[in-house]
Amino acid sequence: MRAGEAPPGTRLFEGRPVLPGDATGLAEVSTVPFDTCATYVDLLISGARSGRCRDISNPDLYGRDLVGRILCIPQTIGSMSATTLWMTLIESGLAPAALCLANPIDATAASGLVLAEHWLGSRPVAVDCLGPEFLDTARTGDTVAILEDGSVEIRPREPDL
Amino acid sequence: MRRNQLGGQIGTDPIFSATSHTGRARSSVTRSAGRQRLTLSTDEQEIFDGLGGEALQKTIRAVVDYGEIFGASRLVPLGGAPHHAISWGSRGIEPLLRIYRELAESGLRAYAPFTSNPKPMDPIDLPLVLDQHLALAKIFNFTDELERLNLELGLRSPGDWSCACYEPEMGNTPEFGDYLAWSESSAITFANSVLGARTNRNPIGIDMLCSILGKAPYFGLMTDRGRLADWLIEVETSRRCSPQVLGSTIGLRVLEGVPFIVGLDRYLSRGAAHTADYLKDLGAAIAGNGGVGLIHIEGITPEAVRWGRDLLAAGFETAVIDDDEIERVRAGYPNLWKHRHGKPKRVFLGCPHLTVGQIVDWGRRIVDALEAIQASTIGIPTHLFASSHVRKAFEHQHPELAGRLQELGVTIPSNCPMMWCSTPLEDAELVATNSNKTRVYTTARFFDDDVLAELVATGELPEGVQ
Repeated sequence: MRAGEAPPGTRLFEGRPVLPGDATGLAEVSTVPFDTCATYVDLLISGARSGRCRDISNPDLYGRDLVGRILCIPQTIGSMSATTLWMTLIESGLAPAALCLANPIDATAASGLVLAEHWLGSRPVAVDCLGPEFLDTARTGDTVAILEDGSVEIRPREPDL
Repeated sequence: MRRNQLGGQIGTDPIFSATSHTGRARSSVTRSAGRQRLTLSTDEQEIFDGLGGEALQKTIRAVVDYGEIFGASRLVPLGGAPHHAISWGSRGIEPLLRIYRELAESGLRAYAPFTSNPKPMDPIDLPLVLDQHLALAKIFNFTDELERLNLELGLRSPGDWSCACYEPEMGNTPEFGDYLAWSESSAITFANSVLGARTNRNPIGIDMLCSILGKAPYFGLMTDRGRLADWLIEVETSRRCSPQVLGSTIGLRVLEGVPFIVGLDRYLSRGAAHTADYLKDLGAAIAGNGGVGLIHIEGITPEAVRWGRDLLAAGFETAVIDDDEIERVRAGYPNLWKHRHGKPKRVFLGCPHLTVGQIVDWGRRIVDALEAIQASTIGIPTHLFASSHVRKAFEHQHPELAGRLQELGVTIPSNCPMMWCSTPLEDAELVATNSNKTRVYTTARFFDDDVLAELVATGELPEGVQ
């Protein structure tokens, strides 16, 4: 492979840079909608400082540590409390590094990230409208690179030997 | 199966469907459109640049960013008065309280005195045992601060907590065409549909920022285009059915669409008090079972009366709701009681909060049911939820019935039954309700009014109902 050439199997997707920025990290992929409050129920109810998914109805992510990862999801659902939960996650350093959404972002996630940007001065990168094929392609453990313009590159992880 | 509110869903409007949560923004957001830039007036630009101070600058910048995400073209001035959904002072809202604090310390206030959703608990009319008190004091440990900050930011008075803020006794009733930035889905649906005001479903935080700014981003249900119906719902039931069940049937079908409902004007009279009560419960059930924020009803709601079927957007879909469909949806409600066939422990009536007329109807029904079996007291703790203003009006207008209900042990709490049910200690109680919203978001079981009337009188579910 020549320098600068994308690794085999790399796929590029174009999304909408809702909250633009560059980010690279390992993917955590959920094929079912991401219930923010159920995922972070420990943090919400007891204040436990954990970024691990506790949503028993999410078989893709249950038990996985999402801190600093690239969250690849259809969209978020659930309680309006998620607005402030996103702020708590970001303030505590427990948030994912980025959100890649197949669908348009919903109001609860959008408001949480926007409030964090202006009141905390920090927020994850968010790209939406990536389409269903994005979630068909991304696998947990793949490397995902997001650019300012909303393009998202998926580099498949090396097969386990 | 839909989830209930357990698992950390504290709040009044969880939506478990893949919607935009705005009531109507999905169709206007596309990748190719990018993030539309919002045009600011000179005054707005000055605030944006910081001439109004740092807190107001952050406020407008957050509102603008939020609006641009959903394709807003400009900000519009708000009318009427704000209504906010946040009423629970739990640890989860701590970051929001810090924003509220900064706004209050900067001397900012909402553009008009506002009302707020009901609190989770009413210690007088829905008393708790000591263990519950102690546990809830820990969960809702920011309640006093939330109330203090709300008052500083413009809450009308300490008693102004109700989801049915638009009732005459509450007095937060917007006019036709008023732009609002409300955040309680049942109130939003009533304001949009029955009053003809214009508001998106706003998330917590954004509602307060818009109230402080006195402006909201113009998109979705605030626009003429966003208020067009993409569903024609033909109601062909053989009788007027419960608004709670009809509403859930429609909400599950249209999710985040705008339904134009025909066939209901056979059963409703435009302008009658009972019609408004029916629409309150219908709208809440539609909003709670989907992500809806606006409904049109032929011959009944103001925009449908004014523009008729011209409100149907090109390419609308059609669905027929008949007796079979109602029964199919009704039969699909899950039984989430901890002991599936246990004996119910409480009856909750009034989510959204009851009107005076609804309290009178239920009061008479309960008295009649007890007289029919010659019983002198109710068979199960029964609570009719309403705002303190509505309760006072009921007691003033119907002193005999109010006294009789008090003798029987029926209480009229002013808290939110749904939030009461979704706290860790109370979610195990076997609660029977006629509210579809409470059913969707808690473990409470839904029953028809006839069943509940018998349950209240005897303490037992009728034979054959399990």
